[in-house]
Amino acid sequence: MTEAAIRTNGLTKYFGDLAAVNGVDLEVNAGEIFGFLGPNGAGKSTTIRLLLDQLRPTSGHGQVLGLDIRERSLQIRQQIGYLPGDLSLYPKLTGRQTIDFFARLRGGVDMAYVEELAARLDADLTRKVGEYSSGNRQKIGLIQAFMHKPALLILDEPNSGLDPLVQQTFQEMLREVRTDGRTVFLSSHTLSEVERVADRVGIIRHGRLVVVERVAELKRKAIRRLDFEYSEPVPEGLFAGVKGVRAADIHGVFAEVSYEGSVNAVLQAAMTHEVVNLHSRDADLEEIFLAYYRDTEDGDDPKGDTGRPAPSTSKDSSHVQ
Amino acid sequence: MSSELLTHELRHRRNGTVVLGLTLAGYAFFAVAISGSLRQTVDNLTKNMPQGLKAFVGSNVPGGYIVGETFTLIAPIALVAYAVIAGSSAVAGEERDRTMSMLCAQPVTRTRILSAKASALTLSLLAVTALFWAGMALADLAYGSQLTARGLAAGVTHLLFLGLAFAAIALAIGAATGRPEIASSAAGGIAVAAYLSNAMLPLAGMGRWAELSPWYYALSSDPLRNGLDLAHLGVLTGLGALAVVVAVITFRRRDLKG
Repeated sequence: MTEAAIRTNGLTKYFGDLAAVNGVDLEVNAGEIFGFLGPNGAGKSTTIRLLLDQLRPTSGHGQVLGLDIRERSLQIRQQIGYLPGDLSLYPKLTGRQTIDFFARLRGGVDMAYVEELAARLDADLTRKVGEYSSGNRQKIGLIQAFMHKPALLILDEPNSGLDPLVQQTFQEMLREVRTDGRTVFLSSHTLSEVERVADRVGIIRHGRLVVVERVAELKRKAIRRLDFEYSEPVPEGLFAGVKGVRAADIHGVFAEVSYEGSVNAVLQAAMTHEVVNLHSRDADLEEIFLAYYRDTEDGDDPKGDTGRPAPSTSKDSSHVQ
Repeated sequence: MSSELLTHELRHRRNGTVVLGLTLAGYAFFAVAISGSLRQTVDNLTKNMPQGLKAFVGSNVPGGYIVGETFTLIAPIALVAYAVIAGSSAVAGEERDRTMSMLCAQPVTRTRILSAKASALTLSLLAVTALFWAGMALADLAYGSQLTARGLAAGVTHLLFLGLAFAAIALAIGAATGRPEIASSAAGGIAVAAYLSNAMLPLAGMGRWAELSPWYYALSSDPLRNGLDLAHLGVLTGLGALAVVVAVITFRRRDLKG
């Protein structure tokens, strides 16, 4: 397949005066796992619902699997699996009735595969949806999205409510989809949820796609944080001049260090005193693209909120309409 | 695929339909059962009232006051209330409950979703009125009433078409706005205003204005006595059809909420 699984040109959606999605040019290759990252309210779900024809764009165009999102939505929906963020199901149906209902709307699916998915996710299909934990509800949603082996999976915050063990299984399932040559479009508000599986990520903020980058590259640029606790108060300048350190905040026995790149130099500096406890924190999305702006624009306007899409790896896709 | 949607909708409506239908049937049964003994008393009370007031009270229909109350007040109000609640939540309820997002991601068009919901509403109202009719007919067999089989069937049919018209109005407002509370209060408001204008305007000598009210086309032809009034049923059908067309057009065009 040469065509992109998802392609948008200047996709824009206004709610009143608010641009929830603003001129998004997105290109997701067939056969990749694409992470769609952004803080809550950045426009991830709105973008997805535009692709599904649940919302109508104010301007711009989009194609999914080579089909126009406005004109050919029915054909698109035949070929995709979708898990909404904030999933709601019919509370009076059991898990199995729910799956059956959606399967019949698709004209039938391979029920043996449904059973296999349910077993892998350890999903309970017997009780009513209203009695489920949010985790089990999410599993029903995932089975429903995967069960017809769609060419494209669009998953909006799929990890919510899943315990770590199930998340691992879920990530295996995503890799298998990729091995099959199918495509996954995965939205999340945390990098850690997608960095293990995604090939590339796009970051959306205030409705604008600010960067599309390979995950490895993004992680290299990401700022991470270590919090140290010492047995005795340490000098203020402990991390001054250490390679990669962006900031160090020291209060008595506590030190909070932000750094990028290799952790070695930070640890070497830290261990010149007796460390009692060590805690690492996830890279914050906000910090990631702040770092991105610093690196690509030579410290020019670190706020990064100029509305300019960053010079990203996403090629300016030629219009195909 | 559409039959699956319809089955799903009917399952969703089943309990409400059965409960309301049996309640109305039971009420109808007992209304006929006691109406014989009450008839004389009520007739004495109302014999000197002007015709408009008699109509308002409902004592001038075959079967007398109680049956009149059942056909002009209790049954239509219960039916219209149910129609408004069910109609306003048919489309918009899925948006409030946030299940619409999953439903609309399936390979079904919005028109199909809407027509499945409209069909299920129709069948549900049909079942409710059929149960109501059965309660009346049974009581007539057991206790006897002045109702004719033809009059009873016509009265029930008029009520059904009234219910369908208001269900369609509520469906349309819900489909256009995606907000069940707006749909139920707007359609409910219309129903109440229309009911009052149909009941009150004739008392004030403004009978012509009552013809704007859907209730006029359900009740004024006195179907219990005169049988079906096809023109009046045609008006109610036209109103319902217009509302369904509005529902389809607006629902296809707008952004979904949930």
